[in-house]
Amino acid sequence: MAPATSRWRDSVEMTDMPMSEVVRRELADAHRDDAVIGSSPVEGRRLGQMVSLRLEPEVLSALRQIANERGVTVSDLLREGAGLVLEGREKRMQVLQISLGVEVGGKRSSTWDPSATPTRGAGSESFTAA
Amino acid sequence: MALDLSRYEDIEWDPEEDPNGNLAHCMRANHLGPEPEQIVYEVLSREPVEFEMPLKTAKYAIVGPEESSATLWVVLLDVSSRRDDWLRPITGWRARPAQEAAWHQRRRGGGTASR
Repeated sequence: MAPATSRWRDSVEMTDMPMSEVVRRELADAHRDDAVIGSSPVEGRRLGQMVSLRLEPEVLSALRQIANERGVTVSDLLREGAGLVLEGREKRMQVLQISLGVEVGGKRSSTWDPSATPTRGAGSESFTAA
Repeated sequence: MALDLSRYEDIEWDPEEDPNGNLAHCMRANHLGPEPEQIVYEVLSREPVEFEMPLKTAKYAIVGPEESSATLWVVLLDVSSRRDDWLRPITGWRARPAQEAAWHQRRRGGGTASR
């Protein structure tokens, strides 16, 4: 069964195009190679991205509580979480770069654990990031 | 025609889990691929050209390059039914020869597509 959002969206009738989005996609697809009958340049603009996600009620309720306590929105919390994920990846990349640098260069760096013996392919676990 | 991007603030995407949503659709290999948000963002922010085809299936049709300029993409957009300052991607694909030619004509002063 299709999600409620899809049912709702498919039932929307646009004023000049009374077809569902799914039908219009299929039609557009079938006409990809059609001729272009007019064109004009558009001034580019950086737009934000509105994404939505499905959360379990308990998770949302807990997030709402925290958001209220902090005086922020749930969106703020989710952005904060996204920032932490990216920060974590950045740190892992730094560790990987340090370990690769040591392995390729064969030189010790200030962040290298001297008790470890680096060998090619030994992985980054031998080294400790600062 | 006459897409004025200054009227719009955001691009609207459905949840990734919605199989009929615009994100899941655009992520397909024969559409915009695994990073549709990035493609749409880059097409809109760089050198978009609006074009018209005989069969109108969306409010706006645009063609433009991604960041690397290696590929031109077509994106069809509607105005969101939730907010009139959101644009909603309907579908998209790698530009076909006629759409590439339109972009080159408007942005590079030529009529022939070349990659």
